[in-house]
Amino acid sequence: MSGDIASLTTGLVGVVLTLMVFSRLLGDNPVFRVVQYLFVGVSLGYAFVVIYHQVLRPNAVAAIAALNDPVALGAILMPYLLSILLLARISSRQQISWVANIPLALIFGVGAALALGGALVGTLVPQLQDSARPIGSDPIQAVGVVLLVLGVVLTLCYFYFTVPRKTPAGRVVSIGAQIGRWLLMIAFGFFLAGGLLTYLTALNERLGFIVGWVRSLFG
Amino acid sequence: MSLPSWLRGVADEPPPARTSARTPKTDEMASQPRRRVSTSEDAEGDDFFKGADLPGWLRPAEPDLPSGSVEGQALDWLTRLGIAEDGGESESAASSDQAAVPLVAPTRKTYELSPEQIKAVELLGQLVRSPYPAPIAQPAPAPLSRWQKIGLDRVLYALLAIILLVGLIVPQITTPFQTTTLTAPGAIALEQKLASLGPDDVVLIAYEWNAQRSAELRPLEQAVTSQLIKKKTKLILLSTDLQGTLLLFDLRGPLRAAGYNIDPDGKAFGGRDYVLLGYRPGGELALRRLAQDLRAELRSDFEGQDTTETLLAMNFDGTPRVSTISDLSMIIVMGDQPQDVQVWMEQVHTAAPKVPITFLMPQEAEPMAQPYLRMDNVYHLAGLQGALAMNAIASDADSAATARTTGQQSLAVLTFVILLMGGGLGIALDRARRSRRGAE
Repeated sequence: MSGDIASLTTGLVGVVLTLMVFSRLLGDNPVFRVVQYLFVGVSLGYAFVVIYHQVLRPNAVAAIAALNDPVALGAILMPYLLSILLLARISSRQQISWVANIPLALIFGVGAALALGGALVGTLVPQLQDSARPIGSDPIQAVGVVLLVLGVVLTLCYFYFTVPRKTPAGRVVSIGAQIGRWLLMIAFGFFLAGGLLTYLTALNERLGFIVGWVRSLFG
Repeated sequence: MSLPSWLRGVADEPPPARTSARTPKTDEMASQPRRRVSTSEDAEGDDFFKGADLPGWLRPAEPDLPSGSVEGQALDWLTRLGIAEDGGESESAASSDQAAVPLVAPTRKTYELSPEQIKAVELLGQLVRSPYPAPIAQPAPAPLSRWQKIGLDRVLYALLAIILLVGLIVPQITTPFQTTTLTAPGAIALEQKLASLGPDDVVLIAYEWNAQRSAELRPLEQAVTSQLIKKKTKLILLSTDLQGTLLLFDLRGPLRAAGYNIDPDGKAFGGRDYVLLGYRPGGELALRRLAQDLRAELRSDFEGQDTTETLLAMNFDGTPRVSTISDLSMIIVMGDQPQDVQVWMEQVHTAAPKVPITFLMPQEAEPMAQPYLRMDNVYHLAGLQGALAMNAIASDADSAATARTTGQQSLAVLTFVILLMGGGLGIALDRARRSRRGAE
């Protein structure tokens, strides 16, 4: 019985918050604002709790355990020292704000190296290989491969601006660009259809939650 | 005025008479004696030092020349300037020649302002007095009608919500759209792959999604993890997303219920069937670390305990079951963004391309992630449709619930399309009516 009451109570909170979000249908209003701020606040609070329990506290414990080992202690404390340097940007004093450039440079450097290396090996090369598949013996597959290559070339034509459009080569590129533009539109149509399905599913789920809770009230 | 010494080359000459205030006439100027101005033609050697500020005994003696010529008078102003700079230095010498050299004042033209210029001056004066124009009161907007205040879009949204509510309350109206034979791209291949896993296999599951996508990701999660739990497959759970971490902890309930990490006598046996690593900070960097050294990640779970010696990480004979990421039987990533797919493919799949990787994602992300999903050893399942198809294949689905869900989903899409077309038609008719009124 107490479990049912707890379930109904938590369900009620969920229903009320959902209805508050749906109040946006009536325009921007204080009720919607309240629930918006509530979600932002809860998300930030939760993020802090996770970071405290999963990052800050374990590292603090490890630092205390490594007090007799200066090398290990330095390795643990180094990220914290770098993050403290970031605080120089908070100060309005321009004389010390450059100090924050050191950790920022490290972050951007490592991030760029990771992204560049990963993009080359994980995205660019495999996708180039995938765009140039062997035609094979199946005629339908062969048509698909040819269409894929044509689609890639025509879409790239749309982004090719350096050839004068009045030259013969430019006219060919221009015609290709027009077809490429339509191919892009079709691709965007697929993206929109995917997004629509996602949001309609979310709407159905929320409405189903409300209906389910109301039904649970009446057994 | 500060003139350079070379410009004051004639400073040692007597200054013009300052007492003469009147402007000399042309005939008078002609009669006046000409003053000598040294030129380069006169003496090249002397002129070289002429501008230099030499001591008196080094200065060459200059013969007196008549100063009444036009050329000499033209330079008189220059001479005076030079004297003024020198101050009292040559004041006494100048006073003796004041009477001899008359002042030549330039004749000034008199200008008359045009009416446009006068107007412009007045405007400038006005701008100086009041630089900002007086605020002009905007005309009050025409009052909106009740229909305009509500707006067509809100009416359409409300209609959509009402129709979906009716569909949920009375599921019979969705019967024409209901189906239990579902297909989803990749569902069959993934089901076969999951069926090949056993209790000795270790699967890494990453929660990279936010709660706002729970309508699709939760059914997908349940469809896939239920298969793994049924087979008692060993699991490593982690997340690089803060909200994903929260959702990750929710899986502990079903795992406990299935007897994961629990002895038959009911005691906890941590690290036997699953390890919960929790949140891994660093995003891409965390994934890179994971790909490079999985064992290092196992050294600390979400409670800070070392899990490298657990039964999940070690075999019974003491050899490591999982040393690198290549030892995993499968990687399952639940992501809500195409970027999640990209990052995992770039940082993790490139490190272990032979390990099958599965992406569970919303319908929204599937088209953009498509280039990755066609690669070898990559499986995927998207949206509610994918989850229902997976359940249908696995033959553990409630067919009535599946039929209701598909019917409701189809009703939503159909309603949306009809309302979209109706709204477009309404706007077109309204515009046509307005243009007709305007023409009349």
